[in-house]
Amino acid sequence: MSIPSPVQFWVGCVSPLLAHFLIRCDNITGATPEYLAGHYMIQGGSSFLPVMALAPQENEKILDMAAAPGGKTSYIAALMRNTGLLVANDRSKDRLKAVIGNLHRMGITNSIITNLDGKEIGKVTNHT
Amino acid sequence: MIRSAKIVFVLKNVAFLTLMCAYAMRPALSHMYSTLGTAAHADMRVKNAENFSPSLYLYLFIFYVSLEKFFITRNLVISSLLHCPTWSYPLLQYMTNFDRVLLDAPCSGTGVIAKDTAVKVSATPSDRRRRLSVSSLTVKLVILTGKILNFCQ
Repeated sequence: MSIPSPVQFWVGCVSPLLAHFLIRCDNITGATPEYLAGHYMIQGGSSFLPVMALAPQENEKILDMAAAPGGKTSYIAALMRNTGLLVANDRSKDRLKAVIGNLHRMGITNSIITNLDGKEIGKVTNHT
Repeated sequence: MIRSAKIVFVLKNVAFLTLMCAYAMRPALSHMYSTLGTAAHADMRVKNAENFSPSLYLYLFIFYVSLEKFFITRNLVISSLLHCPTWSYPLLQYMTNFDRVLLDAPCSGTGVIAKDTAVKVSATPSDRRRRLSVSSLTVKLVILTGKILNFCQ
């Protein structure tokens, strides 16, 4: 997908070291060695808002339904400081490949990635 | 080409087996893995080397690598295990009693218009109805934990 006319744009960066910030970057920011090493990832600035409202704490058990492509999931894991348990679920198996790649690259070790329908999770937990 | 295809097949099988073991026999396997690096175990493997075929060595090596991948980093990939009753029970222990649930699913998709203007034309009323049904499901799921934030429809 090509980026439209403004070459530089604002994105939010999340790193596992809890350094989440907004920077101004260009198209090649996703191809640096630091990106491939998992020091940061790029996502839209508005993606921070649902996670901020969720306010995840350390040593909690959090379910992220519809996790793909893993931007909010990695932000949750950064706020949890890699503790507790984070279940990243998505219905589409193809989009889950991006989640797996992002979580492995960012070094997130507290996550379980599931490929279930969200309604099935509701049936399992007897909440419906 | 045939050999590489076989290796890929073995890799897939081993990854699947490891995934199965990760849920059923996790304590036993982690103990086994903790004893792998000891000198006594290495001597035992040298003594038994004549009985092992090269393919078995390859199998064990891939098994250990995948074991390390799944146990050192706890990133497990579960694919529709609920349909298998044998393995669904360990999964149930993980998939209950969440502290918080983030469901960003009933997304209107209007944020993509900046990148792809075709979204404005392709949206139908059925999309909106489906979003409403998903958000009502969200209410049912979160009602026990007690807090729901509705950002947009």
